Amino acid sequence: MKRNFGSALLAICTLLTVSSCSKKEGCTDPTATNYDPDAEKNVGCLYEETYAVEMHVHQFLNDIELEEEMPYVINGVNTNLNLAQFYVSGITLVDANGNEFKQDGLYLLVQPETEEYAIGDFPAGDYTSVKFDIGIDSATNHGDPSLYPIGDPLGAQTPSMHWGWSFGYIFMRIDGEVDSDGDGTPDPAGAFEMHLGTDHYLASIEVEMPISIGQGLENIVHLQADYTSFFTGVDMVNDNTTHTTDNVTLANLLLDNIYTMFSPGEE
Amino acid sequence: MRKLISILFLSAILVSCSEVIPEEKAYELQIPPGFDVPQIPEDNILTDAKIALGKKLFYSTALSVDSTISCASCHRPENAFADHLAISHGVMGRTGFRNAPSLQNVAWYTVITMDGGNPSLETQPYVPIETHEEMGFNMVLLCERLNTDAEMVTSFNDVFGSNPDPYGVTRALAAFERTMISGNSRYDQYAYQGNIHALTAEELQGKDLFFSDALGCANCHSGFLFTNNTFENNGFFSDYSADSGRARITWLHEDVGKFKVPSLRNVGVTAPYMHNGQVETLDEIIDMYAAGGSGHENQSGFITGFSITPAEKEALKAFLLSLTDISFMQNPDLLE
Repeated sequence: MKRNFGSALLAICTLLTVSSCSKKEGCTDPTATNYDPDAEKNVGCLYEETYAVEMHVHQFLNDIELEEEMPYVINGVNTNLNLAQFYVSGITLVDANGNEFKQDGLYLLVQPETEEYAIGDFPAGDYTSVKFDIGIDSATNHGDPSLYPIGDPLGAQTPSMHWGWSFGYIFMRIDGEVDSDGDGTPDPAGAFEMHLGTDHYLASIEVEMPISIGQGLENIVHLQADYTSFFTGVDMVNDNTTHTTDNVTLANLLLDNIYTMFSPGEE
Repeated sequence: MRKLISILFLSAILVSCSEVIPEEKAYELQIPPGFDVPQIPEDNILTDAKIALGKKLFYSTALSVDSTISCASCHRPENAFADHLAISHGVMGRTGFRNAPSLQNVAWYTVITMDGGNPSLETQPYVPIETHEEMGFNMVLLCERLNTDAEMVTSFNDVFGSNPDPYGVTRALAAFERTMISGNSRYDQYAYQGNIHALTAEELQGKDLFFSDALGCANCHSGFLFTNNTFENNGFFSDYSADSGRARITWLHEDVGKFKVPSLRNVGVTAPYMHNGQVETLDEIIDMYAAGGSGHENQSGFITGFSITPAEKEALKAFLLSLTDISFMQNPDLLE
């Protein structure tokens, strides 16, 4: 027994000696471009040049820049939009070879009063499309908003972008009033709410456009969000309200419309 | 090396600072005989001060948009923290579509709310605060309002080291709710406290019926909580289009009409019954189960019908009423 222990100790010592002698040289940082998973001794790493990128979301309705509390005619009906906002997450730039560069943990709450959103750092290069989700991935969707401070997109909002009962975020929230009595003026009786959410309504969008990131470039992804498309086919007077589960038919129509409302934006 | 030492030193200070506050006044739940030890989330350790703040919030009308109702408006102490109305009245006379459940023993519940859509006691407060038909308010605006109340600001800072915010509101409410423990009914005195005289002969007969295979009540209303914490369609209704229950969360047809099995503790003071409050008496409930339910396609396999004599029915009801815990409803620690 004692002898076995001695030989085991010897073996370990030998191993240690051998391994320290033959440490493979290379880059040991997984975030580097020349990272070598087998490397044990760091002899230098190379890093990609990255640049802070912004997404500019140009929001339109009837070819007019979207503003809340403004009168619009939607599908022939005089309408006031009191609130129009949605979550964007999973922002990914795709290059010509199909390589994807995704920003994990980034959630934007896109509102009409704000066009410019920082979307983190991306490597220099030419990209051919941007992918993103309207909504929030399931794991984060059912997390606790109280764990984020007020002001964080995932924190509590006013008006609320969250449902307590299903415990998930409202991916897209459109509130307003329509002219329900035909006198030409939107009225409280014509109040409507279009609240889309639950994991089933996460919309994964891809918009093809050339995006160049690098030194001396503007490094902006211009995206157009056209609410005219969002409201296509909606009966603004008689069937204008859904909290998703209580009017699945309208929710499904709006989800279909979300897939058509995004296109390359102009500077 | 010096840098490393200073980092270690710094973290040692940080650790000691963060540990002093909560440990000092840790609160130990009074667990009744026969009950398990409930799981308390690591980020919501109970303290006297936190529970006191939660109680203050629970009874505060500031939580509703027009400052007219508090949690206790619908979770009334005299009804074992349930409501006596079929559908509770929210702000401005608004009504929702479900019966307010009792908050007794929520510390043990693994399912919060009737459809299980909300994951924990810490997340549940968003439901009443922000639901249009309940308090009709908003968490951000509530925190702004609480920040104008000097007493609240002081209490939040004492407990959480920060001004009123969603984290503090939800944690404090959950902490107080965990102290709503009911485990001292006459049945408990008989079953868990060694008092063999606590139940009458009729109640004992009812107890045997309740736990019998023939009636099978305890298939669902099991354990010390008198619920198996699952979802069942109890066959009370044939149409669930007004409220699909668990299916509202899962979107599964097989979950239509399924609701959380409620505890039967204090069932004598929590009428009216069922998810919509449409059933007023225990007689109606026993009759429905005896008849074998409505035959809804998702009806629980446990609802198969049984025969029961009038005397047996009285005995069963007597047993159910022995689950009433007066000391719970009169517990000064829970009352305003």
